This record gives sequence, structure tokens and C-alpha cells, in this order.
Amino acid sequence: MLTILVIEDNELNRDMLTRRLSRRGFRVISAECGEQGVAMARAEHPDLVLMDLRLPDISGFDATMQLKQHDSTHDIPIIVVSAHAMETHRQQALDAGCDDYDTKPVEFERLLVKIHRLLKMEEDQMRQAI
Amino acid sequence: VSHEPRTPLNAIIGYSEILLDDIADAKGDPAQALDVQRIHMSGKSLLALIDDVLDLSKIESGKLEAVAQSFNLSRLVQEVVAVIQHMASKSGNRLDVVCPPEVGQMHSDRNKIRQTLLNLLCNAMKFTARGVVRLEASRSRGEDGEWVTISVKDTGIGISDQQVQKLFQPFSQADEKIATQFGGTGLGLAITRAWCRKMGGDVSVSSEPGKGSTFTIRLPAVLPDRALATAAA
Repeated sequence: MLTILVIEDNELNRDMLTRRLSRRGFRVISAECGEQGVAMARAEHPDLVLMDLRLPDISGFDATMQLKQHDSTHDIPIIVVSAHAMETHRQQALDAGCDDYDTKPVEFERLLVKIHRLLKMEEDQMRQAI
Repeated sequence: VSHEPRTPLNAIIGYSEILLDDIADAKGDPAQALDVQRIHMSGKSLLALIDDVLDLSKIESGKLEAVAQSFNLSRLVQEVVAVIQHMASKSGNRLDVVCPPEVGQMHSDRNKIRQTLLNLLCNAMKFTARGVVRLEASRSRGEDGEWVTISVKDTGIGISDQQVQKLFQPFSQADEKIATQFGGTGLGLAITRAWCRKMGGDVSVSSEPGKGSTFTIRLPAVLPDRALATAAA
């Protein structure tokens, strides 16, 4: 079973994403802030991270950079899910190293397409490595 | 701050989607499903209204920014058409598109032009049944540089002269019945006009009741510096 780490401070958003992803067959773990999310990613090495940008401690940009710069987590695909529907934030998120970007309100089916695309790329890369 | 009013609304929309899934899985009461669908749809239209109001308040407070990037216009048109195509088939309309590759590149606010085209096409589809909606793009060169003209022509219900006067004012759908019958926030055209002007151009309309309407936007192919300068201020 594939594991997705949801880093999101809003309780309802976290709960919604968790329930909907679980229903689609993912194992979901979640963190309420950036530090906790980064620690969890290092400990559990999830298959994918959904990252909110506005977090109470460090920003989602910083958390993304920390994960992408660390040897043990740099290969985990990250989708930034942000309420900031601004082109500048999108660019900033991509600069920080995220693999994809989506905006809130989450259109779940659209997000799922992005998740599956990244997970498939990951799988193909692993096959090639073998 | 702009996302704050949307946060609770996202929960309303998201949880109603979860409930719909629950009801479907449990083969639950269809009447309940219908009620939840109403909550979901109302949430979505409130969200559209909030998005529009926020856009409009940005315009009114002078915080509207135009962000220029280079892009291929016919590719943008293709993208927009792909989104609107299902709406065309639903309303039984034919969508004709004339956008030759010669219209070429633009250097302007791609996102605003995309939204503007979606808005005009969406309106045309809403007010036309079993007719034709035609999008036509062209490029011209004048003394004041290169211009792109895009028109959206429909064979729909049309707009009277009196209604045309109010068309671009906020919250002034041509007729109160329109909102009930066709939906929409009554802000789309006000926003469209402000955006087109911000990008150095404008939007105009000609219409005949019962025959149809043509909305035309005319924009400089390259966003003028003053638009950017005001955005930075």
C-alpha cells in the first residue's frame, strides 16, 4: 500500500484529504506543521507528500527545500497544494523543488491525476534502475 | 488574506463531496443525495461569487496586477476551447474557431486573457441554445504597434440597447430573471473590462435582441510598460 504524507495545518482540510485518499486505497499519515512534516518524512519515507504553503512554523517553501536537500528524502515527490492561486507562488514553489503544484479549493479528481502521474514516474524510474 | 473566506467554504464543498461518495457507496436515499448535491452546488456558486468579488475588490483598490509572459495565442485558444467544448455539446451549440497560426505570439497577461476568453465563451454558451458560437482571432499592425483582436459571436437571445448600457457595471445582469434562469455572479463582464483596460486594450459589444451578440476584445500584442509600472506601484 502506497503512503501519502499530508502536511496541512487546517484540521478540516487535513481530515478531508485523509479520508478521501484512504477511500482510494492510500495509507495516509499527516502532520500539522512544517517541522513535524519534515521529521515524519525522514522517519517514514512516504511515497508522496502533499504540502500546504501556509504553515504555522516554517513555510511550505522551506519545508519543501529541506526535504529536497536531504539525502534521505530528496527522491520523494512533493505536490504543493496552495490557496495562493498566484503565478508567483507557483514559480516560487517550483523553485523550491516541488514536483507539481495545485490550488485550493482542491478538485479531488484533478489532484488524483497529479498524484498518480508522479507515482507512476517514480515506479518507472525504479524499474529503470533495476 | 484573499484565501481566508474560501477556507471554510472549501470544507463545505469538500465534505459535501465526501457525503455524496458515502451515500453512493451505501446505495443510500436518493432524496438525501439530491439535498447534498444542492449544498454542493450552492457552495460552488458561492465560491465563484467570492472569487469574483475578490477580483473586483483588487481592481477597485488599484491592486490589480498585469503579469506579462510570452505565449502562443492559438495554443491558448486551443486550451480554452478544450475546456468549453463539453459546455457546447451540453447546450447543443456548435463551436466554430478561427485562429490561424499567423496570430502568433503575445507578450501579455496569459492568465487574464485565458479567463477573459473563458468568460466570454461561457456567456455565449449560456445565452445560446442549439445555435452557433464563433470565436475569431486576428492580428493587425497599426501606427501604435501590433494588436490582437478576438471576437466571440453567438446566435443567442441578444441584448437590448438599454441592457447594453449597464452590461459592464458590477452586479447588473441585464435582467433580474437572468440570474435565476442562467446563474452567474453578475461580475464577469465588469472584471473582463477592467482586465482588458489594464492590459492596454478594451472590450466592446454589439447585439441585436433575438439575433445574437458579438463581444470583441482588442489588446496590444505586447503589454505596454505603463501597465506594468502601475502594477509595481
